[in-house]
Formats: sequence, C-alpha cells, structure tokens
Amino acid sequence: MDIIPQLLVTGIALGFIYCLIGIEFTIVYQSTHLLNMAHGMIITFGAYLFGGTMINGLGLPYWLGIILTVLACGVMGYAISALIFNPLRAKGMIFSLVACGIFGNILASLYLAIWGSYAFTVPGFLSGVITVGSARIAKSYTYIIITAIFLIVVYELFSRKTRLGKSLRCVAQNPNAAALMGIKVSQNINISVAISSMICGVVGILVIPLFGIKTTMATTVALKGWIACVVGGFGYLPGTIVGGLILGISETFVAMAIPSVFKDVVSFVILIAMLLIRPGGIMRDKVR
Amino acid sequence: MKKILAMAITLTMVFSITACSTSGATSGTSAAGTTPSAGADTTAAETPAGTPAASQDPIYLGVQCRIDNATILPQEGAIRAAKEINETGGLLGGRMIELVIEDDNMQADEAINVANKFSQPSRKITGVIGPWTSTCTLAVYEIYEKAGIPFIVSGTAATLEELDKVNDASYTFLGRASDRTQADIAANYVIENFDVKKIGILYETTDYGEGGYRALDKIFKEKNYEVSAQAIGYTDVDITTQLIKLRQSGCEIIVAWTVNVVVASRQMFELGMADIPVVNSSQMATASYYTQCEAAWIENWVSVTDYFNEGDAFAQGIEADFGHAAELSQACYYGYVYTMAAAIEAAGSSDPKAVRDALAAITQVETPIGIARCDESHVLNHTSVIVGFKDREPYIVGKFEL
Repeated sequence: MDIIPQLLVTGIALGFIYCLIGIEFTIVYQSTHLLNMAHGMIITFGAYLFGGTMINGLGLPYWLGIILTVLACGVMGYAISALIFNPLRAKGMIFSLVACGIFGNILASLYLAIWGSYAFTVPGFLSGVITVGSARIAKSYTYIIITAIFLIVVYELFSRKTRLGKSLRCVAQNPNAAALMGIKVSQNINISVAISSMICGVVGILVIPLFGIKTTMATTVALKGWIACVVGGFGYLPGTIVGGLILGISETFVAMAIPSVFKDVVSFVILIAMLLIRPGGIMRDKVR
Repeated sequence: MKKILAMAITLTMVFSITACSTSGATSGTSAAGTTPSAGADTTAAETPAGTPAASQDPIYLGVQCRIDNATILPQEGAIRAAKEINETGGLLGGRMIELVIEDDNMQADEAINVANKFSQPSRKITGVIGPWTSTCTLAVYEIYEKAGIPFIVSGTAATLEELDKVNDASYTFLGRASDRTQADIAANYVIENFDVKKIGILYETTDYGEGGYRALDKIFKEKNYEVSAQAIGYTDVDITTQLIKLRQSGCEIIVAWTVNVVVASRQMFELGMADIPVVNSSQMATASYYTQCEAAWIENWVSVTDYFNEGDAFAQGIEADFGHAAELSQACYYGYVYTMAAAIEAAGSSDPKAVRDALAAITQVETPIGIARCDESHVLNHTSVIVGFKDREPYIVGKFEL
C-alpha cells in the first residue's frame, strides 16, 4: 500500500509540471491567438542559465540565481514577442509556428555553443527524500507541487486584482475593444509573453533534478504541456490545471497496470479520445 | 517599415539556419587544421612543384557520429588521434590524415545520407570511423559494402555479428565487443560474486537494450535464476512504475542495460532501492553520466565497460585539447583511427580494398580500449573492464581479456 502515496505524489508532481507548461502556453495563446512552439527552448534556457551560469559558473546563492534567471527569461520572452509574435500575429498562425520552430533550433545551437555539449546538473539542488510513514517521497516533487500551486495562486491574484493583470485579460478577450479603451495592445502582448517566459524559467529550474540539463530536456514535457491544454480546454487556465493533473496521475497509475514502457502512450490516447469525444476539452463549457 | 522589419527577420533566420546547420563538414575540423566547408570537395591541397602528387595527397578518413550529443563526443578522439599521427609524420612516407567529419545525429536516415556522401568516389575516402550506434550501422552497412569502403563501427548489438556479409569479403569491422559478449561478462560477474536467486533486468527499448536483455535473459534462465524484466525508453524522465514493479518482484540484484542511468540511479535512491546492487553496461563508467549522480545513488553500482580513464597519455591529450575528461566514446574513435592507420601502413597504400584486407589481418594495435586484433567475426576489441564507485569516484574492480 505504500506505493500509492509514491505514485500519487509522482503523478501530481508530473501533472503540475505539465500544467505549468500548459499555463504559459495558454497565456501566450490568450493574448496573441498564436502558439509558442519555442517554449521548450525557453524552459531549457532557464535550466542552462540557472545551472550553468548562476550556480555552477558564478557560485551565486540559489535564491539570487532563481530571481536573476526568471528575470532573464522574462526579458527573452519580451524580445520574442516584440520580434516574432507582434509582427506576425496579423499574418496568421503558420508564420509564427515556423518562426518559433526556427527560433527554437537557433536557441538549441546557441546553448551548445555557450554551455557545451555535455549534459550536467546542479549537485545537491532539490535533492533528498522525505519519509512519510513507510513511503519515501522525493523532495524535488514536493518542491514542484508547492511552487506550482504558489505560482497559480499568484498569477490568478495578479490577473484579477492588479490593473496590469486586468488590462492583460482585456487584451486576451478582445484586442480591438481593448485598444479602443486606450490599452496599448502590443505592449500588453509583450508583457504577457514575458510572464509566460518567466513561468518557463521556473519550470526549467524545477525540473533540473529530474531531467538534468541538456538541450533535449524539455522536448517531451513541452509536448505534454500542450496536451494538458487541449485536454482541459484550450485557452482556459483552470482547464489547463485540470488537464495537467489528469495526465500526470493517469500516466503514473495506468503504467502500473500496463507494461510501463507504454506510459507515454497514455497521454496520447487521452488526447485522441478527448479530440474525438469532447474536442473542446473537459471544461469546454467554461472556455470563452 | 514593417515590411523592412519582416524582411530583416526572415533574412536573419535564414542566415542563422545556415550558420547553425549541423552538417559535420561545417562543424568538424580536419586533423590537418583546415575546416572543410559544407559540400566542398575535400580534395588534396596543391602539391609543390616537382613533387609526385601521390606522395603529398592527404589520406581521407570519414568520421560519422552525432557531434553535439550531451554525453558522447567520439569525434574528439578521432581528431586527437589524427593530430598525433600527423605530428609524427603522417602515413605512407609523409601523407597526412585528413578527417572528413559528418554529423549523422545518431539517426538512421541521416546516417544513410552521410554514408552516401562518403561513398562518392570524388570524396576519395579510404576508410570510415563510425557510425556510433548499432541502428545506424544496420542502416548504412550495405552502402559501404557496395562502395567497398572499410569502416569500423561502435555499435554493439549482437545482430551486427550476424550480418550476412560479415565474412572475409566484408568491409564491416566491429570496434567493440558485442552486447552479447558484454552481457556474458556482466552475467558471469553476477553469478560469481552474488549469492542471489532473483534477478531484475532493466533495459531500454533500442537495438542495444533489447540485444543486451535477450542475452542476459538467456544466460540467467539457463542457470535457473528467476528473472523479472522491465523496459524503459532511453529518454524517459520518470521510471517510477518500472522500478516499483522490480521491487515488487523481489529481485535481489538488477542488471541495467540502458543509457538512462542517471534517472535510474536517482529514482532507485528515492524509492529506497539504493541498497540493491546494480550491474550496468558501459554508461555509468562514463564521467558525463556519473558526475550527474550523487555518491549515495551509485555506491552499489558497477559498470561493464571497454574503457576506464586511468590518466594515460590519451586521456591527458583529450583533457588538453578539449578541456574535459576522456571517455569511452573518444577512446573508441581514437583507437579506431590508430587501427585504421596501422592497416593503411600494412597495406602500403590508401586503396580501400587493400586497407580492408590489412584490417582483417590486424593482430596487435594498442588502443585505449585494449589491443585491437581482428577475429573471424571482424570484432577488433576483446577487453572489458568492470568499474565500481566509492564516494562517486570510479575504480577498477576487474579486467577481462576475451
């Protein structure tokens, strides 16, 4: 019976990783109606910058490294929006998809040039185990769950209680009306993408103990974050959270019943089933 | 203004794609010190007046691998070897080795493209070092056989020993002992050193992993051990359920035939399985893997490998040239270049067929992964090392000459 807490914590932790990625994906989509397919590389940038430069390179304390990394990711996101999303959003999805894809490849090569080819990690970062009864739970998973809940709450408060947050929601709902109300749409889009990139940075830092730091570290989870969006209800934040948790927990528990090597198939089966049965997602009635 | 900006962005992206192209010809460096440009015909440099052209022509060796892998950089070994050989006068009375490095991304389709490039007569390739993986080897061997170019591969899948064309007329040479041989060593190590009844096998779903699993499973079942096996993907980031199933099976030792050792060791520790001994194939003995692990994760791990860094001249050379510790991948390609060079000298020419015949007769070439001698299956290396860990520092447990 002690495997159930272990499986549950693993599933919830993975689910929160997927939902954080889904959230940043949704933020970009809500504000621009475009898909940020370079988000995997921004996650990777967060990991490389924190692990390779801030901690291993400069020897900064964790808290300072985290703050600087997250801010740097925000700057990167602002630049991506100013150079790619804003100029291309009127031209249609395909242009931004191609541009993001190419940009992602450029970033991957840059990371190799800056930090080298070898994978590495931050020794001792978020490592260790908590014992609850007879169950052993990785500390990294508990940090992921706590941080994800904190980020979601903070983002919800920001978007509902602050002037900037409300203006971002206005732009997401109706850019034309927002412009007529005097809101600077382009700047707000840049800020939305910057916020999304900062979340990517946090994800990159959190998954270092799980994935190590290498250019391919975020490939699979970035895809599953997108699946979480679709499963929960594309463009609806609470739906993304629900979708991520469903994916993470389903994968882990179903993998105990089937050959575990097919665990990744669970996400894709859920995706296909959702597209066939309920294409709007689980919370489609809430999607505006 | 927007049109100009859009045009500038487009041109920048196109330029960046070209600059960041992973064609090995742009990324690789020839040992002669020049960098071949993408698609350029790497013909010999102009010969000085009055000198017979043949004695000045470089000897072209193709090098095929993934050049930007997170844990494997075999081309560095080839570059180092070629540099050393050229600094001591080259081959065949002064001909310099020129490496033509192409990135196959460890993917079969790209490996085929590289093999087709190297097979063009205009490339004048005498021999090829690589591919690294068994999958790529199986994809390209017919191309090199048809072109008549000898090549030394690092693939270790047992299927390579069974290739129809691996006989005296073949151009395929296996640089390392196969998985079957390494699995034999791992299995015998378990049988001789551990008093257990139940064995777990954790293997990855690749030719390499499946080959190792089949060999191990056969050996253990012949010895009446109870075997429980779990498959993982080599890029899986969470193998909790597989490890829980192995734990539930009651296995007393695990043989891990996978490159995914960092995730495996960490999650075994997190699940309270760190006290279960693990015998791994070659990965954990590689610095780029064990340096990602904590000491407590790998205290009970041993690794069956072809190469252990003892700080010899080769290891010092890699450290000096590339700024990091030498590992199995560099040791292999370094050894293959020296083996190919010995064959060229023995053949007395750079004719691929003559070199192939000389390779088949190789008996004593010293390499970091052991003495290269070609057996009837065209396997060149017959040495294995078992490496243990103490406080995350590797040490030799035993050496085996096959």
